[in-house]
Amino acid sequence: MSSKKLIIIKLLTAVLIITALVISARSFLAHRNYKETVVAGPSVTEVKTLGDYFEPIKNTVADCNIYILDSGKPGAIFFVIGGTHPEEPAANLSAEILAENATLEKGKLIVAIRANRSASTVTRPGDAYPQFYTIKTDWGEKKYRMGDRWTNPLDSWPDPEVYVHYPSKQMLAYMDIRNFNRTWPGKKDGSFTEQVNYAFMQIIKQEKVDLFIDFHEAELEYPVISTIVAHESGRNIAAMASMMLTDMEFEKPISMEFSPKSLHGLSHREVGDYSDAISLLFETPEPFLDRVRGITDEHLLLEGKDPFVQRAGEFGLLYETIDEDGWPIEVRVGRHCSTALMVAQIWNQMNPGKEIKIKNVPKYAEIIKNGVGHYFKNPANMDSDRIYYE
Amino acid sequence: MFKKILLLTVVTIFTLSFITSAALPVFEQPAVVTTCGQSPGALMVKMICQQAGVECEQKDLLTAADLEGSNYKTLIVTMGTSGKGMGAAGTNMNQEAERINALIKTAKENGLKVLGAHIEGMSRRVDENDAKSIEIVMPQSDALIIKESSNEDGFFTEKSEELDIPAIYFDKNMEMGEAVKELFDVQ
Repeated sequence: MSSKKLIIIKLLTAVLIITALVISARSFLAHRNYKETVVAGPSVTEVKTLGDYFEPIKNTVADCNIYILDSGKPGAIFFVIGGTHPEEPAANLSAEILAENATLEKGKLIVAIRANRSASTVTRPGDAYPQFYTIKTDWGEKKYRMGDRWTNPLDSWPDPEVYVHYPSKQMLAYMDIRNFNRTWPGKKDGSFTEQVNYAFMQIIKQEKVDLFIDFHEAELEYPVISTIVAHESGRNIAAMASMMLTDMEFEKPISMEFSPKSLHGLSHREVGDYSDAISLLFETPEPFLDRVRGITDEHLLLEGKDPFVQRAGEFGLLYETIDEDGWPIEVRVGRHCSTALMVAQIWNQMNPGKEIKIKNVPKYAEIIKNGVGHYFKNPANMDSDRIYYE
Repeated sequence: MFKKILLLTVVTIFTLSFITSAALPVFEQPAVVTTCGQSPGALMVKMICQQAGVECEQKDLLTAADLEGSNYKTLIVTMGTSGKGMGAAGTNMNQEAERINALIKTAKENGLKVLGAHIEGMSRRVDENDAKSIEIVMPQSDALIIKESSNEDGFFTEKSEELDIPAIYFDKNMEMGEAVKELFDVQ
């Protein structure tokens, strides 16, 4: 081949690569900078940000909103977070339902919708994750960033050879230094994600949180699914909640698990160990996360239907059942909302005189009937001072 | 009079409908409940017993030595395992098997009756640890209390008949209290 032809081929290749880079960079930037609208509900008295509790976080990509729903009457203080793992949409959608709808009649509810905000600014292109998903509402479609399990490497890089958890010194997988649910209780001068956890611990301590709830979803191939994982301080509440919900609300049971004392970095362990708050973690099934899944798209994410996962179930390879109805987002969000409400109800029975009264949050059956989007308000109809961006 | 007889007949049929043919022994208080596999079943049994007015202590890591000189009259052992629970307790299935076998042996030597319980549904019947837990507890039990959803495939019905162990079944968790009252003859 002549040198002239070689130069032309090289130039064409360079142009193709640069074009691909520009297109993908624009796409990544649009995703990273996309803002989700949240309408602060009637009981939201204040919206702080994470940086208000730990200055170094202020105005960084991690500086998520903290919604304070205060009844003005003394009672219990609950703190609910979604978005620990932004590839688990039922978690942030459930938290958003609370922030937009809950009416507090007693006590205080604190909500973070995008707890690890950085992890919501990156997806997993190698796993064919969609960049966005949309939820149908009564007034149109609402668009959300799809995220990843780990903090965006743009914000935390490089990973160590081995991640040594602080303060237990337990050795964990290298990438879990960016896993918001392996870095509790956090470290003041630690890695990016450790600092985010540290900031959340400051909220728990400064606000004197009584009970902390961390919303999650899990693949059906994973044994910890459809359950409440409880720190020992929350065992009775979790056991009673699982029995009541299984009897009274859910078609498929919800169980409970004890938080292992020797497994470090998880909220159900470290929040309970390093604060006075009872710590609970809720799991719903998300077939999108299963490794045996088929086409990985928004449909699977929201409908939770997949013939390959279903087939795996027929071979007894799953820890949760799945049929042709799948695990739609309404069922998953409904389970989270009802479980949170049931935990509050049982807390109230066990702590007379220090109750939390949460009204106007839809339960499981209502969310299945009306859809998730029914509970999101139209920002166009709201005063601008009630609108916040995630 | 006719109404009373009819009512009595209905109640009798209803009661018998969830008890197998073998006669149920009456269990005495106080009871102690433990778990073969560290699932939260023992905690749930304790909470239900409290509501039913049955004196019951929960000891997830109860050992044979704990029974020596105690005043327990009934040992309740829940079947079904939890990996997280065993991790939390720092044990494993082999150690659990050893502990429960020794515990039941000592319980019987000390005149305690043994009640096997599977109350957490099919989610505690998914792997070989769950199967092993059932295999250890079930044949050594004087009676069984089983949640209907744990028996979806009829396993407990079939196996209890084969082993001639009386079993009482309940559907909803909140109905378990009635079953417990019946087992302990609490009015």
